[in-house]
Amino acid sequence: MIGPVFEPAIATARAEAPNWLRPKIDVAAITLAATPIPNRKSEHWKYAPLTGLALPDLQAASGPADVEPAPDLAACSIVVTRQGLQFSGSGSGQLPPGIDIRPFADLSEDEAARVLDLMGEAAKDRSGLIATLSDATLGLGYWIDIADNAAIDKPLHLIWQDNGAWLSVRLLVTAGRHSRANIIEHFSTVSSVASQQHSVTELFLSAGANLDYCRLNIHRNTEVFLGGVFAKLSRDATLNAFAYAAGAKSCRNEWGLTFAEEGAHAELNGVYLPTGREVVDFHTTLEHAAAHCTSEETFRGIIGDKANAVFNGRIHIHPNAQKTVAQLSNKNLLTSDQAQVNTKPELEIYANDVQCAHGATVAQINDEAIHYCRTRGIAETVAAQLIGVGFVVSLFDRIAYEPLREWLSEQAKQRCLTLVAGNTSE
Amino acid sequence: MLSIKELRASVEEKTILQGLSLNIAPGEVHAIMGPNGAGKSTLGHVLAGRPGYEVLSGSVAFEDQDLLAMETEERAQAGLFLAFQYPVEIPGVSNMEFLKASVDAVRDSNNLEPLDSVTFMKRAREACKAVNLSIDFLKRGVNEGFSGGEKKRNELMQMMLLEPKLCILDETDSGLDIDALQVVAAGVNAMRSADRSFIVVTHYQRLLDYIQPDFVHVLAGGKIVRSGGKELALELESKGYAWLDGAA
Amino acid sequence: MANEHINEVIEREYTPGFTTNIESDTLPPGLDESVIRTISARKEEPQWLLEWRLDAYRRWLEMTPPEWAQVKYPPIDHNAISYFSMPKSMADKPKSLDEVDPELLATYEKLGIPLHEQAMLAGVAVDAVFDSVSVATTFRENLAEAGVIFCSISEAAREYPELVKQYLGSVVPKTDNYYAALNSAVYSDGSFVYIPKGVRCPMELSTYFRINESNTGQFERTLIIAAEGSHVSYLEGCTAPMRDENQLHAAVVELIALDDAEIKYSTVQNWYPGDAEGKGGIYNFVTKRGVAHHRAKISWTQVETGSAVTWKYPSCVLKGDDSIGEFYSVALTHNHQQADTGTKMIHLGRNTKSTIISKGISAGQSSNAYRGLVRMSPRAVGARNYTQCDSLLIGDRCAAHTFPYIESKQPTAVIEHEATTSKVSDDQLYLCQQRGIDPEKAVSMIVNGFCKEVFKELPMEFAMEAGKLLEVSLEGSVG
Repeated sequence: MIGPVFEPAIATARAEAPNWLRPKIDVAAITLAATPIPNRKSEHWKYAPLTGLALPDLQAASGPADVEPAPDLAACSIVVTRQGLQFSGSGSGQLPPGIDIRPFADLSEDEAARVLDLMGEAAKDRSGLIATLSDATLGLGYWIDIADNAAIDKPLHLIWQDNGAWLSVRLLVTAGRHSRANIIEHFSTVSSVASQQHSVTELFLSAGANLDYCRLNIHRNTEVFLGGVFAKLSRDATLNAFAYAAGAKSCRNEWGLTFAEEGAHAELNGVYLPTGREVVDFHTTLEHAAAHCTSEETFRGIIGDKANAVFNGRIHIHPNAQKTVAQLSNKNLLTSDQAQVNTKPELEIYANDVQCAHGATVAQINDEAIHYCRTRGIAETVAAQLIGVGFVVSLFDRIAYEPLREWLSEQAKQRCLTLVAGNTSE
Repeated sequence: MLSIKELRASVEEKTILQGLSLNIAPGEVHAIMGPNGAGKSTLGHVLAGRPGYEVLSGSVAFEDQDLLAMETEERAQAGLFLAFQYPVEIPGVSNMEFLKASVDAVRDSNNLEPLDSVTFMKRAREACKAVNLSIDFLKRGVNEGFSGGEKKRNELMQMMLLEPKLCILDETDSGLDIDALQVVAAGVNAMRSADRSFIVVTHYQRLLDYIQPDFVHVLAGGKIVRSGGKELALELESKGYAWLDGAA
Repeated sequence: MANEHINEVIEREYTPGFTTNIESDTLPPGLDESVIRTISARKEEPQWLLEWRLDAYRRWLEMTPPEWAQVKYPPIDHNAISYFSMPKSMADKPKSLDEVDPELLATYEKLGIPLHEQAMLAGVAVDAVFDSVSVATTFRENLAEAGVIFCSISEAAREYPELVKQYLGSVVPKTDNYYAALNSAVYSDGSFVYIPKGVRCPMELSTYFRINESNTGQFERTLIIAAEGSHVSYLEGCTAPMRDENQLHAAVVELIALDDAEIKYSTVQNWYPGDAEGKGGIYNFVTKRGVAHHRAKISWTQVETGSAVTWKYPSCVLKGDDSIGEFYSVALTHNHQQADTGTKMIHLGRNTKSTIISKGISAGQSSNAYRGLVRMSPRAVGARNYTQCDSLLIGDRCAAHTFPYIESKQPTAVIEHEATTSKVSDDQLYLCQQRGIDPEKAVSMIVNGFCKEVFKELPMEFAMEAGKLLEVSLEGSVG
């Protein structure tokens, strides 16, 4: 059972949580106590099981001294720690009007009731382990509320940090009717010792809301990350989501987007660049529960050295979701003999008047393309890097906010150099 | 400039070049003609250093350097350029990014500073204009979604930017209409100079109406079976290649 | 308007749904070791085979039915099934067709496979399995001349024990899965084919299976061995009579293609699908797998239109370098039918190639799932796979699913997977109607067009039959 593994974290969560949250922690703890640790036989964990998972020493504090500073994206940057919020970077140092961010501990009774109502609501179609774990171990909880009709140009760049080896965070975003906002959630390694992070984010998009959301997972190989992003889209809402993952020993993210009302649209793109012995695992589900919704999902990855990439992309068209248009694509490049990829694009369709397609490819960097570059005087490694970046760069182009796009492209470029290095050593 | 001696080379364990010799002096234009399967394209690929093309014996000197001992990119950096018959597509890598990497690499090997972006862009635009290619092509992925003719002009454009010493055109005329052919020919002619040489590989005499060669060689069965002036091309045009069966 | 038409087209009775009134020698329902001993004894099997069956049975007892497939059915009571049924008149084994019970032969005629005629006209050798016993095998002599062995697997166990012992269970181990284990324990009969080195089998081999006896499970077992450089094309057709209760069919097919050999295995499966309300029908839980050695080729083609529940994944283990695996499938479900079918391509050897073309058609309230696995092992340098799985939905109460598993541990391997979903659109029907084509014909045309890539893989006679079968199965689907 997985419960005992997290016992100390659950105890800490219970002790630190506000009163109204405790029953939720208790229910989740009971569920965990009866949940087996996912192993190779568990369908949704078979390629990256949790067997052997241990909780890091909660007392081990290495201090954030050697933590790489978060990039300055000219956004409204906020470092979130146990001590509270701290503005950083070249941003204005204050929240733009129309957006509010509050810790769970500071909520009024009415607000707490609302948050409690919403918690798990966007994730409810996914009765998965990730949300339960988050409920049971919840450490830092924040609620971001975007007012109706608010039009916020400057992204909110949230940088989660803690000075321990353990971090469990929960973010709730309610985007008001016809609001427009951009949120970048940034996870990086917080400790130099073996560490673990859990994070569940739920996004609620009211009618006509337009939200850009980016989840950055940039870790060191001493860290295990388990997280999820769950979104519920009301009528005519639009979500532009992006995921980037690289560096962690193991990084699993579950995405669940529910199209609850007609006319909603979501784009979900992701790039993963694991190397070493890293494991990157994306499980995405698009629940098309209403008619006339559209979705477009593209994930691409380059997998090097002994890394393992898992992609499971499910599109579920409910019986009444006529006129749905859903596209899913997953492409992978393997750059080493010992790298592996396990991909499963799934369609589950219960309505006939829909357009659904998915595609997946696995290959290596095209030899001919490398040769072509070499005949133009470009060295093999540089050629492989160019081609590798070219493989993922079109996805970065879909990020509307330029400083983020530029910075991520540069990250990917550096990463690609490492990824192809092994490939061309022969 | 280039001296090929008794070159024998194989592809997939099949010997294609069977003792080919050829000397090219600076400023000369050599046309290589011959029937399909004679080894015309193989020659270009062996000189450029394509993986899978194995040299069995013979030697190739390029400006006193042992060409065969050099890596593919070193050959390019030394000034050898192959315009491909079928240029590969590289999705996602913009033409501009690719060309900058290429030009910088070639300059670097010749101990030149990389071009600043402004100068590079200016030259790239000029080259595009010279081959009648819209500058929008600089932003697109390398050869990605280009038509056959656009790919050929893109090759030529790269050739102009890189200013190589030896240009090998591998059936650059195939699949081109007469207008595109004239554009390509004009581009090549503009680049002719006393210290730049060309090998023009072609199946048809047509291209040679526009690019006047100094020498014409007939390649058959993996070696040069006849050499002559430009009048040889006309002779081939009227007689075809059938007579070679007896001659070779 | 178009929909109404579609409905009219689908309602049609199951043509092969009659029962043959002959006396059977059937074991009482239930399964224990004594049943297995009885089966083995009736078939005069060697001792090792009895032991093999018993071992499978004991292991089966510890296994559980698979639950991962996208199908729902009540638990099967394995003690309510009779595991052996033999027409009484067969007890003393007919030597030729003339000795066969005339009513039995009439049954085949109703099914459209008159043995004499078919044998003569089509040049097809038919090993017809009626319930559990092979009743007639034609063209034995012709085949014997070429050195081809084509007989029932029971006979093979007696006549060619070395071959059977060497290969039985070598591709599908007896504990491979729940139903394979059950089959290994109780398999009743089936076909055995051996093509000697370098021989191109002079004719298409064909077996029609037919379940007749009520409450009878059919557990046939097929073993095909193509020796080095040989070539064989094998056709399998299945029908069953109408019964209210569900019947279990758990077959195992093993193919061995040695170096440079080629096996083409085609199936037209038309087991009774149950009635329009979902009552009755066959549970078709089948394990089919082939091993391809160096440069060998295994090609599966299936047209699945019958059965209440289908659970079937004809697979290829591409063990030898440069070996080739193919899977071409049309699966049509209607009314309350459920199908979970697909393939596994296990690339072990270098430069192995596989192609998967799957066409799923869902109508009525049916559910149709493609489930496939493409695995590139670390040794599969230069391997390639291309997969295309398309779904066609007819009506708004059906379901179509795609579950492709893609696993690669070899960077030089190239895998491409594509899937699309479409429907028979009102616009298409309208266009056809405007050109004077009635909706029924139009749907059939559209579906046939959708399946063309697969049908062209079938032998000619089968392709025509398959087209007709789709038409029949789709009747009433315009709705």
